[in-house]
Amino acid sequence: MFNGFSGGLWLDMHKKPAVERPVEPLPAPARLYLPLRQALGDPLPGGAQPARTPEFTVQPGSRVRMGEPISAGGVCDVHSPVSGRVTQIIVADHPVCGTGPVAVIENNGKDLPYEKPAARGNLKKLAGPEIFARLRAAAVLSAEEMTEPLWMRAQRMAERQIGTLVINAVETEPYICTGEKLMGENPEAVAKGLVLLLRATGAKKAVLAVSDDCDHGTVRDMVESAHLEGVELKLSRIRQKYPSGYDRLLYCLLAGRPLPAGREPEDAGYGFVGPEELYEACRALTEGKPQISRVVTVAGDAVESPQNLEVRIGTPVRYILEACGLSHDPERVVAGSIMRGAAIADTAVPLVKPVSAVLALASKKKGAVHPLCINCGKCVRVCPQRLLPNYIAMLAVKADFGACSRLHIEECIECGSCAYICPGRMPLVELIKNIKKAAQPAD
Amino acid sequence: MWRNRAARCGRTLWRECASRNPVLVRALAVSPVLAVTVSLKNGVLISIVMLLELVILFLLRALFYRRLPEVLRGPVFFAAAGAAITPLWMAARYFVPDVTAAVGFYLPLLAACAFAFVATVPAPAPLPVQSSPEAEEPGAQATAPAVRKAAGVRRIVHALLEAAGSGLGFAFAAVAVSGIREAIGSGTLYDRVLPGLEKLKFAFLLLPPGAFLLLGFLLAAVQAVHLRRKRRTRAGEEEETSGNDG
Amino acid sequence: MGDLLITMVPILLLSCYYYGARAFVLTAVSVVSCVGFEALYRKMLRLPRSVGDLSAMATGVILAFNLPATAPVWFPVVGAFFAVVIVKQLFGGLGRNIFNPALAAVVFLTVSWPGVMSSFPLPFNPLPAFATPVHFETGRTALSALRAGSMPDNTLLEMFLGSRPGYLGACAVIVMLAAALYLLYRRIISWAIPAAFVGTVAAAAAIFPRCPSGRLDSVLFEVMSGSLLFIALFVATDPVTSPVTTVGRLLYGFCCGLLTVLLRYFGIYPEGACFAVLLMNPFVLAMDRLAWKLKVKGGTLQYVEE
Repeated sequence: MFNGFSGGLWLDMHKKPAVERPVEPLPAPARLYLPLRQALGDPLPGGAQPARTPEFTVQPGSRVRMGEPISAGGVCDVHSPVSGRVTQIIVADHPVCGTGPVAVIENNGKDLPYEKPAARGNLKKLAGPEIFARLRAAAVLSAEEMTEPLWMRAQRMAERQIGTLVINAVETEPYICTGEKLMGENPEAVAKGLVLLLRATGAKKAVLAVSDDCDHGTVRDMVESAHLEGVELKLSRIRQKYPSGYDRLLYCLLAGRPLPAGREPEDAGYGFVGPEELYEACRALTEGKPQISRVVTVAGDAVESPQNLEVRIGTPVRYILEACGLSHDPERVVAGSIMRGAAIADTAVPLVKPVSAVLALASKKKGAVHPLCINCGKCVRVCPQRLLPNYIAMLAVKADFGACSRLHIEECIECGSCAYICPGRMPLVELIKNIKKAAQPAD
Repeated sequence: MWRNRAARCGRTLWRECASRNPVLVRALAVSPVLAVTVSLKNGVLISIVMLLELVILFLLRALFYRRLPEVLRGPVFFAAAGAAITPLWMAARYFVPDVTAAVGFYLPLLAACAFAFVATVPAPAPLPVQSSPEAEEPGAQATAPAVRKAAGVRRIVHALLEAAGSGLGFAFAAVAVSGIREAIGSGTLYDRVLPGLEKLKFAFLLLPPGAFLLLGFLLAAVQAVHLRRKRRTRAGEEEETSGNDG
Repeated sequence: MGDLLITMVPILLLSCYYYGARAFVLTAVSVVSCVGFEALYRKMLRLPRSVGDLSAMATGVILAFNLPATAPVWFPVVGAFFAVVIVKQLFGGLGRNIFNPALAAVVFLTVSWPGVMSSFPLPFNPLPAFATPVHFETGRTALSALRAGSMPDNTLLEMFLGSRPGYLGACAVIVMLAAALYLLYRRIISWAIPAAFVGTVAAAAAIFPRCPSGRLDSVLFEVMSGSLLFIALFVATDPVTSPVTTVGRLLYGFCCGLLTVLLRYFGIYPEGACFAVLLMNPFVLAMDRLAWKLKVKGGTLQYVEE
């Protein structure tokens, strides 16, 4: 246990050249598509507030301005990233967000800002509940997959009274380097966000966790900026082993002990936020701007000039890929990380908040047409949770969830290490996800 | 009427022998078939003894099944099987002592196997009751005991047919297995040397694993034939129904 | 599979060096018949082709390496049929067989034609390449000698270099160890099974020596004789028929070693390793289950407090 976790994969990172180029804003396209649901947590559990389902507050034909909220009632509201007109509201399927209403907005190219009552105040006087309210109004959400928005997580961290807030900049997924670039280019903003979040959650200590190939200059700048804001940021370099960036495993690595099943890192006193979230939080709290764009890494061996771009939410993936140029016809396009993200069949899908990368891959592993388990045991060796993926897959094929839960399938974090290393190309993560879904009581 | 009866008898016989073959379909009495069938003589001996044993047991069953209370049926027939095998065993020892010695204790084990056959056959149908509504009709009084007697005879004949069928089915399996094992394993058949196979002497078949393998293949062949027949009858039925619709 | 075949090449060359072209002929016949039977079976039952995964070739090679050089040429064909069709394909093909096909075929041949399988020619004797050798010098294997309680005819150095009467694959220890190390480096076989297997046999030989000249000699002779090393390094580590967890593998190796020792000391045949592995094959699932239960109870899972 002193080593953190056993298993895991040492992946080829391919971070260059995207990590060496600055983050550039991508101009908004002519038409944007905004799914209504981009976060988990709808409707609110526990009944603290009346459970309302989110819905769009605009109709086809209404004019919107940049930054205007176009939905209400959910945990993570959607704001219009451009100024223009809502042309229609359709129901569409998104590989990351699922099926739901999508607002289609025609961009008029003028980017007229939304003038709302200035939600600024003296930052020094902002207290916890006010910070949460503003984060909710700004709908800050930045992660690598569908998760709860920042204000919900921060509220929970405050409730559990965490002692340490960790900036999770450990990026062990190939190609993705958004956190590193943000910290490198805007360390002051991230530091300001950190200060505010520390105050909101009540944490006393702050840790910066980076992977050990992170640029030294970036790290130094970050620590200095935090110091200037009055926060002592402790540095923790984590070895570049996938999936160290996952919250539960990062906790094991930092705290040096395992996290018992069923408990969250917040119960143990550790809260995790990403640098992108802090950046957006700073923007939200200092300038009152909601989250209408995010930094994504556009990379992959089919992309001509990989880069990090600041893209408006709702931009079609095709537009993003064309901006960086495609050198070959991509075999696969992935939204998110190649280990856990969703493969995109139709590149007209829009970018949503939980997506941190758009990857166009030309080379595909020589797949076996018939997946076959030869019981080699490689998946057992790489599983970070020390499960037996081969037996779980064998039982999942027979749809025997009772036996799977005896093998502790609930502890599977779906990192994809087993499927990556399987020589027989067994779709292990797919099988596990399917049986978990099948075992849940029908909603 | 006699043709019908003959057809019914033939059907019962065929059913017990083929589609409900005790060894190759129901997988009963596998142990003696595997253990001692190293030569054809052994196979023939156990087939004969099994046939006689089955006849005795089925007859006893036909006669006494309904008269015994349910709890006593199992023990009584088991004891009857053991009692029936004893004279058969002694006769075998008298007539063919060397073959009986080769078969060893698997001969009395046939009693237990016969009991398994008998226990897994459906119960004999009850005879018509003495006082039935038809019996109250005038003139029917004279036929009621006749009807009972006829039903009784029918039951005995049915039991004999079942015994013959099971016995023949067992005999088929035992003779087939022992014939193949002896021919390929030792190159002889009924102690007569086969010129071509003498050189082969595939000793594996004389050992238990070979017997299991051979029986496995036989079972597979029987299943294959079964499936094909079922598919053909199902195709035939579909043709018939489609013909009826059209 | 490709790596395994690559490592078998030096062993093949060495066996050709000892026994002449016959070794190559037997291996070739074995490989061709294994691949042929697999292709034929898949074609006749209209199943997808599976020859591309090279597992049939590996079965052929391992089967050939467990035959004596004086086996008739049709021997591997019969063995290949049993291995590929009955033990592997009838159970469901690659990944679903319970028993190691090559080893089961070796046992099948040993049981069916014991005379052929237990007469080992001396190395460096000329043997006809295709015809069945009739007159050849046989040597007494170390195992038969140890069984009789006498000193083996070969010196330790001869055992180490492999120039002793034995199976085709029983060649120089150093070559086999090098092959095994290469496979370990490529993460194709696990270290746990050979270590436990050979370690148990060595420990038993040390505690109950059979060699009259002392414990150390006994350990070395027992470990290097017969097909123990070959089976422990390349056959018992077959991924399909071995456990997946490390604890399960250690237990499997230990039980195989124990059975080998018991069969060698008290069994009918002088060689016990092939039977031992075959006997332990059905227990693989149970061993993994036991290892998992130990993991759960012992708290060594990632998310359980110690």
